Amino acid sequence: MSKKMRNKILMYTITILLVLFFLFPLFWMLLTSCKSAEEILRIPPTILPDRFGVDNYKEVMTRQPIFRFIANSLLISFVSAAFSVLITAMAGYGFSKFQFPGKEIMFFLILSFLIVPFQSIVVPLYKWVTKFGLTDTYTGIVLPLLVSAFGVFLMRQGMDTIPDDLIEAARIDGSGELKTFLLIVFPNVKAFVATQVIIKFLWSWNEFYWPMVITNKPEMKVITVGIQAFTSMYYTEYNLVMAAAVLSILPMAIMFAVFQKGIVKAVAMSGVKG
Amino acid sequence: MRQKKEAYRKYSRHKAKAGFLFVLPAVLYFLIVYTYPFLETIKMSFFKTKDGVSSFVGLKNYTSVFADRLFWQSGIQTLKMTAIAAPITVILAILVAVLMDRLPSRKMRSVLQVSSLLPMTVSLIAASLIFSWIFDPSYGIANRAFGAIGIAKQGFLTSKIQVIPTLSVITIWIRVGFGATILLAGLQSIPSTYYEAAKIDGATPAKAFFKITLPLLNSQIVLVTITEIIFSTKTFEQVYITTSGGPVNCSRTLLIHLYETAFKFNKYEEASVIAVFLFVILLVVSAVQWVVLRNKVEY
Repeated sequence: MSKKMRNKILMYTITILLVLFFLFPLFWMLLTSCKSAEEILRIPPTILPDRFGVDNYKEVMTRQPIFRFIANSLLISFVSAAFSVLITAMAGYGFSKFQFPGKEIMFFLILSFLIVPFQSIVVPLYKWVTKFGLTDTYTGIVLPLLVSAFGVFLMRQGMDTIPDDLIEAARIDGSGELKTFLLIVFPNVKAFVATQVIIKFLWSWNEFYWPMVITNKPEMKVITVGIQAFTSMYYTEYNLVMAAAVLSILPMAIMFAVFQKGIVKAVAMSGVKG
Repeated sequence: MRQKKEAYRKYSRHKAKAGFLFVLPAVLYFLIVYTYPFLETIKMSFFKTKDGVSSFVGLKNYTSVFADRLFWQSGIQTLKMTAIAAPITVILAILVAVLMDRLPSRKMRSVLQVSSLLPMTVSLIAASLIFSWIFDPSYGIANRAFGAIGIAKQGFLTSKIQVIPTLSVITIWIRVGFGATILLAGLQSIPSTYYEAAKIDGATPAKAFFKITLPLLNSQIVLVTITEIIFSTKTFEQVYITTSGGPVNCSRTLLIHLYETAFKFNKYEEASVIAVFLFVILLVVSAVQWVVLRNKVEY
């Protein structure tokens, strides 16, 4: 066998092993979610379920308001992604294209929160949010997720790519600052806007610590906090736990299937950080 | 002429005002929602509240946190988890990135890319649930597979020794795709002429990898490594969902310690000390990144 052939076989073997490592847990979750409580404990174990049933999914829905959790997560993620894009695009534009006193200090202030871990501010924030009666409210949950420091950084990079002449031309034509921003600048940084929306949506969707701390009522829980209930209450009923996990992943999986190219690009672009 | 100058001055003042107004919402947001609580955390770490009256106690909170054996145990275990998860994640990410760049079959390349990114869309919570089922000591598929090939049942998350490596698997599974995507972008920016020149000079593919690819990928590798170190240092969800720090505190991490100190025992002042400690650690890690990337050798 030629050396080239051997290399090729080695490469394909490693690739298949890696793909198995990434996909097996997801397949196992799907298969388990279709098995009955009796079947998952059976000896010897079955790989494929006796029959592909949806009983576990029905049971999960009756035990916990799982669709309410998902709706809460969707709302929080949409609001934080939309808000973050608008505010960080404005800030990025201001930092990139204007000169004013204190500019770099303000930019540094925001960027420093790339380093400060969220857990370092959580106690005072919790006390504060509690004092204003915002526990168990959407406002309370979304408050620290609204604007991301990374987004400000990314948007400043994006605004740097817009030629100054384009903005000047709009000004000479008598377009006001806000109008220039919305109609001329914003459409020209589409790639950065898309990156920010995707990353922020993903981050907000997977957020756990803050929503857990700030919510008590079941109807206000987001999906990450909601499915956690299954571990404590029904610990050994892994068929139910896996069905709940599938439901929690589904919206993101759909988004991934639709925006796959955009997500790959967004992750690659988020690497410019640093 | 004078009129023109006056007009220009008015115009640039107008522009400065506009710029300031554009950044104002973001600046206000970070002052109120982040800076204020952060300063409050630092302040709280030097104060003690009794019967609603808070008084300055100097370093007393610090000495009491640092005297706690559990704090150091959590710290060391966090370090162990980082020492396992970060290097393996980076190595696997390099492997995946190189394969995505080199695989002859386009189909295989995209299969690898999609499957490596899928775990990233799974929340740490869902991933932790999946892996605690896979590693379930009695009925998990891992132990059943071991049994089939004659290996004794392992404790995994219930074993004092295996719990940290097992938890690291969750972190690695979630994070490889992220690193690989960033490294792939770096790989694709290496001009192919370099490889052609090396081939003409008679370099083996292995030699080309170590002498061309790795050095040119340097800054992305540093970036991914630091990102993974920071990620592992902040390990919380995996532990909280699967073991809550057990068995007998053997998987307790700094963030679990911080969380319980604050929200289980309501010791806000001592929690603030841990929060400040965590910040200092991450500041040092970030400073290292900054220095390394700044002094990186240009090829």
